[in-house]
Amino acid sequence: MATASFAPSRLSAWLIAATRVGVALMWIDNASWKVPPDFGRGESPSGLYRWTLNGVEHEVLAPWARFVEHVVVPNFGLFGWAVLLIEASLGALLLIGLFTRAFALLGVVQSLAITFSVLNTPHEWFWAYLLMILIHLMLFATAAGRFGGMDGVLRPLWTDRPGPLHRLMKAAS
Amino acid sequence: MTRPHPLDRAAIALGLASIASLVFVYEGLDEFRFLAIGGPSIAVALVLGALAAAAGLTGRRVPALLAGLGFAAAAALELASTLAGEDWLGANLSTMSLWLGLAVGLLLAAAAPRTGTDTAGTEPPSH
Repeated sequence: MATASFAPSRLSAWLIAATRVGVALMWIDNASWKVPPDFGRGESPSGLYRWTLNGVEHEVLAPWARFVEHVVVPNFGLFGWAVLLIEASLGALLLIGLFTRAFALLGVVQSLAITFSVLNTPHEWFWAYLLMILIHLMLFATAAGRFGGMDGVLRPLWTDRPGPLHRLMKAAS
Repeated sequence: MTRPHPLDRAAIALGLASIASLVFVYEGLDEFRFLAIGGPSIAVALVLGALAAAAGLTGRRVPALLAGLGFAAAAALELASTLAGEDWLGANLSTMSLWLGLAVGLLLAAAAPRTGTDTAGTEPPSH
C-alpha cells in the first residue's frame, strides 16, 4: 500500500503529543507500587509479587506460566528491578519524547508480558491490555516523539552527523 | 523578538512540566493523583523547574545543565529513600520516573550542539 509522507495538521500533531504524554503518565503512575527491595515478597504477597503470581495461578499461556514459575519467581529480586527500570524508563522517555519508536516497541513487549500474566485474573478487563498494546503500536507508527518531543528537536542533529551511533539514535526516534 | 532555539524551548517546556506537576500536591485527585509531591519535593519541582524555564528563556546552557543534574540527583535520592524504607522527599517512585525524564531532557537540551535549524515537530515518520 503506497502512502504519502505522514504530515499531520497542527491539531493532529498536538493530539499525538498529548497521547504520548498520556501513555507516559500511565507508566509513571504505575511505577509507584513496584517498591524495592522486596517488590511485595513476604508472608502476605502484595504489589508486583502478587501480580506476578497471578500469571501462574490464572494461567493465560502455558509456556509463559512455566517461565514465570520456574525462572521469574525464583529470581524475583532481579526481575523486580528489571520491571522497575523498564517501566520508570518508559514513563520518563515517552514523557519527553526521546527515542520514542524504540520505547514504543519496548512498551509493546512489556504490555504483552503483563497481558500474558494477568489476562485471566478475575475482574480484569481484557480490552485494557489489548488497548495498551495497540496504543504503543500507534506511538511507534506515528513516531510520536517528533511532535512536541525531544526526537523532533534532536533528529536534525543526528541526521547531519555520520556514524553508527547517530544512525541508531535516528532509527530509535 | 527572536524565537527561542528549539533546545531552549525544550528546556522551557520541561521546566513548566515540573512546575505543572505541583498539581499532584492535591490529594483530592484520588486515583488521578499519578504521582506524589509533598514536603521537600515541592521545592525540588518548583526551584528546578523555574531554573530550567529561566535557562530556556535566557538561552543559557549552564542553568539547564544544573537543573538536569538536580533532577537526576533528586531521582537518585528518591530511590535511595525508598530502599531505606523512608520518605525523605515526600515523593514516590512515580515522581522518580518523572524526574528521570526531566533530567534526561534537560541534560540533552544543555549538551546538544546548537544549529540554526528549527525543524522541531515537522518531520514526518517516513524514514
